[in-house]
Amino acid sequence: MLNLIKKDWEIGAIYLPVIIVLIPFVCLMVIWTMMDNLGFHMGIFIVLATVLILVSSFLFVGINSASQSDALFVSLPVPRYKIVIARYTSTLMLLAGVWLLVIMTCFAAVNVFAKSPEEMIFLLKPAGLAGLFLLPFLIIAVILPFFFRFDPGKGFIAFISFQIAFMLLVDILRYLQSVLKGSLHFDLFYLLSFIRDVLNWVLGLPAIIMYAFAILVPALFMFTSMVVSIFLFRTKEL
Amino acid sequence: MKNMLEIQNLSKSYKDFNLRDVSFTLPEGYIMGLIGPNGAGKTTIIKLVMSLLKKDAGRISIFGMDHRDHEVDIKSRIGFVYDNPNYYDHLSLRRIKNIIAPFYRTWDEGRFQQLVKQFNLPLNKALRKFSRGMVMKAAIAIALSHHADFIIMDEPTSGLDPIFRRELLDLLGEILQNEKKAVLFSTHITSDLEKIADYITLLINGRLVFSDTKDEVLAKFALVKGGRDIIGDIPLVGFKAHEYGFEGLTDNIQAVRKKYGSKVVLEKASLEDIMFYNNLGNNHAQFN
Repeated sequence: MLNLIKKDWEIGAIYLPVIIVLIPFVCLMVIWTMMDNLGFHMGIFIVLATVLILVSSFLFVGINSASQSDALFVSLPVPRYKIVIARYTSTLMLLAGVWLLVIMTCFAAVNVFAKSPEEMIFLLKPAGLAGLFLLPFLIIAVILPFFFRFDPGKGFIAFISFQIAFMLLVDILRYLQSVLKGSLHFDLFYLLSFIRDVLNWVLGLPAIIMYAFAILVPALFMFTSMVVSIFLFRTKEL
Repeated sequence: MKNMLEIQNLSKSYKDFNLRDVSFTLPEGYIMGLIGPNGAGKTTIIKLVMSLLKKDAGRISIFGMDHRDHEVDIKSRIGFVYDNPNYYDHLSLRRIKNIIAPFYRTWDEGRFQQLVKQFNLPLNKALRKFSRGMVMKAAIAIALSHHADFIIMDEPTSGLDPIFRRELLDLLGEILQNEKKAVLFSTHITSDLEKIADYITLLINGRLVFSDTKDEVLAKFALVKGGRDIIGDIPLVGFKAHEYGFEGLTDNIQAVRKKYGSKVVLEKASLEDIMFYNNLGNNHAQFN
């Protein structure tokens, strides 16, 4: 297992210096535009930073998929499930590294410029820090099973199709809501208000339980994603 | 004598191809050549043996163990070379070796260095700068560096120059001096097999035509040449007719010799002839 994780870091090694340089640079640009209230430029740099963080998190998955190396590793004396667990572990390690880089850049900027824009104050609070980590974390959890089931191209298409289908579902529900209005009480916003209620309930819990929730729920989500990936990769034909 | 590989009633179906009921065995201490035209099912069999594909039916046993139940144990004793080795092409051979070597307890660094030197491979150059022949050599060096008991090679000589092909065949011959090893070798270049193979397995359109010792195969078949007037009567596996006569392959040399005597010319068939005419017969085609 350790060999598989080490292998991912070895194949990604030449790209790591680029990540180490680019992410702090783009983050600094975001902070600088925040401080000077350059709304439009700030938007561009925020999008750029988000894309960069996501792409960086997918570095190992991307290289392994592009080189179609699964056939090589399945031919080695290692069970398939270990290949999946190792890929998840190395990807999460990389995501944690990228996250640390972003946080360190933010804290360094606050100290160097001795200024903290309002948006950044939020980002540097526990909820902001968690949010910064959770978005790519959840995206990875959703995407990885597609990559373990399909070829890279098909995996990407399947993921996009899933997203479009999901968005269409919301539209279909909205349409049904307008058609059925009057004859059936149906409110799409019930779902949102339910989520809001759950969040309020969680935030109202004692701090220790709240943090345990904040860790356990995404961890369970990622664990489920990994189990699904193991199941899909077990029967994948290479 | 133990069997290194036993395949029984192996089947695998795709939309446009079916591997049907294939059975053969490879005893330890021997080299088996897997031959057949493109799309015959050679790579499918190798992928099934390596558990890259899931079989629909049948049994595969390697070292006397079921290939799925003892997958990790079996693979630690197999050296493999694929037609298209999926190495990370931005890495050097040294890095690829550093990635693969820790998976084998029996990895022999000295042996690897010796093979790299013998094959004249650069250790620090990115694989994307290697020619196809060099990548195949690298794959062969890796496959032969952990003292595997069973070596599986899918078209290992494609893209290699004749000098290196000869070198590889000598190497495989050396490996086989240890009687407890075996090699399964698929190729289009049948002349390579005539030099080293002990067993020949011919596949056409997903069906096993024969799996026998090379000597028996070469003794069983012969090329027949004769006039057009006897084409219909003569027992031929496949033939091609031309203006003045025909050339074909028979698997019944005695009967042809006895019945047609001086009316026909019988010549020794090469493995290529055997593959060619079996394929021709199977496709019911003939040239004019």
